[in-house]
Amino acid sequence: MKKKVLDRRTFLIRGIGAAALGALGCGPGESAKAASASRTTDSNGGGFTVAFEPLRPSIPMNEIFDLRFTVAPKAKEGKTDDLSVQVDARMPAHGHGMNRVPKLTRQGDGSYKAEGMLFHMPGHWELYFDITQGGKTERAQFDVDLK
Amino acid sequence: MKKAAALVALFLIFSGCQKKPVTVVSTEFTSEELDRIFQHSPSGDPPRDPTNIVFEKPDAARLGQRLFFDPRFSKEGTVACSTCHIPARGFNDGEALPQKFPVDRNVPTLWNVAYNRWFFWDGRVDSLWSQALKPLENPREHAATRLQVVHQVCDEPALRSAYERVFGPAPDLSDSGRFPPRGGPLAFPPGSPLHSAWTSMQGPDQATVDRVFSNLGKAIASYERQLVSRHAPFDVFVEGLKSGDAEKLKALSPEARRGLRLFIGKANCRLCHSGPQFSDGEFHNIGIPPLRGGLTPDRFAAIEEVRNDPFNMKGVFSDDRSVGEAKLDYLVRLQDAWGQIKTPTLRNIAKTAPYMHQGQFAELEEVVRFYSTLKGMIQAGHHERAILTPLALAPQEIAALVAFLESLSDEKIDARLLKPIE
Repeated sequence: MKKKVLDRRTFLIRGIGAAALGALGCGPGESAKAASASRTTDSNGGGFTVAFEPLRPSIPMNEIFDLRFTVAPKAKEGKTDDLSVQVDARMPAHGHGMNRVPKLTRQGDGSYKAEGMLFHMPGHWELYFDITQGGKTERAQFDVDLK
Repeated sequence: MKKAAALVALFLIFSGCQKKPVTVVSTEFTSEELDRIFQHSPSGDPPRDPTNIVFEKPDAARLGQRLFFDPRFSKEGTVACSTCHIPARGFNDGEALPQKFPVDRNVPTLWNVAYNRWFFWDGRVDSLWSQALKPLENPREHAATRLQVVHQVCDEPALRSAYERVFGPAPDLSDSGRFPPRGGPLAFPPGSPLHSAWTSMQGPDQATVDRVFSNLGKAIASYERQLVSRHAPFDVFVEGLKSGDAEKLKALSPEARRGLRLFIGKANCRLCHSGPQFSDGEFHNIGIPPLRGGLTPDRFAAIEEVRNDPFNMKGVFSDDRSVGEAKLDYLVRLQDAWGQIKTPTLRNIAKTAPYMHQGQFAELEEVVRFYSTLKGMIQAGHHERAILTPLALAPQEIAALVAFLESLSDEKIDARLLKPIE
């Protein structure tokens, strides 16, 4: 598996693209600044690095979107073929999440695709990637602010 | 911060994602406020519906208009869609709950209905064409049967001709042994003569009837797609903000402008009433005290119903089942659904009293006052209680919000759409 994590350069280029497109005012969603922020983080147990990108310039408000993400073990000999992964999102200030459950599929390059995401309200969302391996679950979490 | 708002705000936007920059100069709103205001206007055309291939066809719309105003599509020949969706009353009936029918939901307006993602207050239907079918067979509404409806179209030369112009040859239903005059799968109770008339039919004949039935819904949806309101004083005001046209800026009174600022700011109405339709098209529990009963569990049943509806967007009568799959395959029963009701559009809201899903409030002021005090709110320990806190609005602020809501009215429409086709 060659490409487990989207590299920094790829994200930088995509971030600039997202920022440029975000400035076009194509609809409510992430600000240009937010869209260019890092989309890579480690899980809370330190076992994995998760990187994601929406399959459009930025995360929209109240429009269905898909995203792609990678899960890479931090350990050199870490495996990924026995991982169980879930994606969810909630608005902590509202106490609710999405009104739907995305569908996850593993791609040929080892990455994942989450289809059918919907952030239906403006405000602060938390995007969760829960990775379970060997009965232990770790969470990688991102902040998403929609204007 | 109000002082800051008085500073000149320069705001660059790119109209409709094109490369043409527009410099917006406002002495009244901050750039952040302008950004929020522009999310609400302009409103584009209703979204396309690939599951209904005649959605945008004029012949289909004309057929749909005939059906919409025709009371013969009911058990006693006295109830048409327009019986409750009265054009002169904002396409509702002006009642909290329908007086003529034993239903416990306020009649939703049909203004801008084609922009909806889900239909009915609980979202139990996923397309406008499928929605149009439901009252026909509802024993508490039209109380017609599927066979009766389809016979009415196929047996009458004028309607048959109108149908065939849109959908091609209509089936021959003259064999009453194969196609009884009345009956349907929803005839109540099961085992009754009308129900048995349907269940005794051959499967292919049932499918023939179902096909015509679904097409009638598609024609009605095509008519309803034209019921669009999108050039209210608020929209003119937004045009003025973008162009600097002083006349257009007069479209909103100073009071309505204060209401607009509250709407997108302190009152935060935009959280749910977002976008050009002033609705996110989704579902929320606001703890509104019901006229009777408790918080509705309808949304749970609605999710099951729409997933299993033979006339849903992923079913055999859909003209693009992949659209339905993308819409329905992610819909699951979530605990968040308890008490949820769909966010209604606010366009033409001043024309569609009374308000809320059971018509709990007679006037807009009462609605705003509810959000100001949350008096009577049902505390169900529900998840969304966290964001609903009393707005504690001053009387002037309530009046300003009402003035803004009244600025969303635009009933200009081709008058020929408001009456039966002659």
